[in-house]
Amino acid sequence: MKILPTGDLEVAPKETITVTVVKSQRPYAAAISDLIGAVWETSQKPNDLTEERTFRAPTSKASEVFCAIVFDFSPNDQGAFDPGDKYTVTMKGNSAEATRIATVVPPPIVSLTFTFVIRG
Amino acid sequence: MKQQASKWKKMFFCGAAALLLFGSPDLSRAADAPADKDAVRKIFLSSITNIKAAKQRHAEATTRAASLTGLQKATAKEEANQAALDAQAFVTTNMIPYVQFVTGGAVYRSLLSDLEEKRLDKQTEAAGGTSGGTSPVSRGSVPSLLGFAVEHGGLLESTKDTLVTFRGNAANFVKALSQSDYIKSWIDPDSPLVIQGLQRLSFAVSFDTSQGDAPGVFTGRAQQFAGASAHIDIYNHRDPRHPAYYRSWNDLVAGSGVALANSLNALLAQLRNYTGPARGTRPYETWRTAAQAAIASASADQVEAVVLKQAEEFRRIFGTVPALQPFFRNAANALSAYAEQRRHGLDKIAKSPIASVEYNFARQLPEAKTLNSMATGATSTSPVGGITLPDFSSVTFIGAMSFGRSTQAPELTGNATLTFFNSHRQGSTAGSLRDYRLTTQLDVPLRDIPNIGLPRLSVSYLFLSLLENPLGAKVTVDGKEIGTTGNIHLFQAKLNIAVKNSGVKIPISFTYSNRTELKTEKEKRGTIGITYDFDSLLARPKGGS
Repeated sequence: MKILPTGDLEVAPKETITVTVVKSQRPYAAAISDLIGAVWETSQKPNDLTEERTFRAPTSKASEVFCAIVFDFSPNDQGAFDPGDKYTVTMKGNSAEATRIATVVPPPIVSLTFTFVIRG
Repeated sequence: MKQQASKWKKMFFCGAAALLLFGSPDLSRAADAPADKDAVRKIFLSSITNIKAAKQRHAEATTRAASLTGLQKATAKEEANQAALDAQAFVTTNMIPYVQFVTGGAVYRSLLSDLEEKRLDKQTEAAGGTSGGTSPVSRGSVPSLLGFAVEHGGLLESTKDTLVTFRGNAANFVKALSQSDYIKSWIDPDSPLVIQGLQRLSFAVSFDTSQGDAPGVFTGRAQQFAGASAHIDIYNHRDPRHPAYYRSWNDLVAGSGVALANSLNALLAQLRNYTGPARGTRPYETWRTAAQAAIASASADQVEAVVLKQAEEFRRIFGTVPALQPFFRNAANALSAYAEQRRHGLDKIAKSPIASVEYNFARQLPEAKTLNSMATGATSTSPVGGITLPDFSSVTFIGAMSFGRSTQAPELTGNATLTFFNSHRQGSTAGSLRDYRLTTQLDVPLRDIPNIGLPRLSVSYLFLSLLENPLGAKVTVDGKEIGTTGNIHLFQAKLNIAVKNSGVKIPISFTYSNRTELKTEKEKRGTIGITYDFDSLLARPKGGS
């Protein structure tokens, strides 16, 4: 996987991509979309603050895969958010090229959409 | 009369000073900024905050990289690079604000929590029944950090003095100060049991400013100490971060959350594939390139303006494209459904029942002072040679429940209190149990007053049965006994105005009672106070506001 200057992620055909979302404090409240252009192959929650999914990139050159994640944060009883709370999203391919690590902080609701472009 | 007017004047200036000291910068900004600009800023607050945070991470990593070598330098440079990508991503792929902006922006109100001003259950003032206090009821919740209240005129003791109360949670306050992190100040299930226990415990200390060397001036010295209380939560699940709600959060994101993520994903895919009127153009790519360049060159102070400008550009380019409208609408509907489910869950949590216990220590200085002033000019007093009165302690069981699940639903609080004398005068045959009392209060939120705040109407009834002389000793002035046993019925109507975004509340009340503890005549009185809840000051989001 390679990070393009636009922020898009260039991946090789059939490359396995691992998406990991980790929250720093409970409760975890992130929603990962279905993929457009591919399907999730595995999905697991190793603990109550982590979610990990994988997919295999399609073979069609220059095709795109889209993945949106919605990040929510629980307020306290006053309706305020912990500024120290965060989500860390890691996008990693099976080659040792590059890893995209995004950080999301409150206030909610935040979304990020990642675009994977198949290397042509 | 003149003296009374002077006290009201003093209270007014006290309130004004507190507003100046603690008032929200949002209020002043709202006055000179167009309302719609403020609304747009609120919609894009998550993007603005995240971009500022990313820029800060970028700056810190860049500085660190400059002083490092080898692998450490490369790691710091990579951190800076990721932060720069984050800043780009939040202006171009955080689609939630754009959906709200393009479709009218109505959804954001249900996303932003108004819990701060809407909560009815927090007690900042002195515990119900404290000497000189103006509240007949002790409430279920207290500020999680520190609260401050100034009250004028005791309800039960016929005093007209001013009581200053500090209330808070010691464990949370120390934790917040040491971590510069207020919001972590809650019951974390991973904290040691001792800390969890301490976090359930809050304190309050009250001072009577009429006492001491400088009457009328708050000194905080022992001479002015009027009472103290400790409050422990037995059942209080009003924090949405409580482990009891983890499943609810999970259900929210697994249902409406995934639907929202899917709709945003479809929208962005459509935006990228949309070709403009000119053949071969990709308007999203053009807009994204410009937005990313603008955000990359913006300083932290310029971020907000850049984001708002790009939002206008986005709406101009894509807001009326017919092919994109169904995707914006779908996303808006999904966002609305998510926001509604989220708000419903938070309202339900905010209105869950509360049970707590409060111990209150009261020093009888105000009564002694009143008594001494009553005795001034009297021809005979008993006992002769001054009055020393026993202090007393009370234990209050507090319950609170709501009529409805909305933050606007009325709330009922009930207290049951037993009060004991801490000591006895020599030779006294009086019992230890001074009184028992039952109190109930109904709080009803009223309609929001624009640019002022959210008023709350409270109606209270207190029944107090004095089983012993309230002073703990028989005292007569000119042969007339001061303070007798009997029943007190007290009714209070209070209007509490929460000043928007400031944590300041101004309670104005009218009280009627058939008698007081020291006088058997009927009494009617009006009181005014000011309270400040520091929670709301420290809870403001950093960077984004």
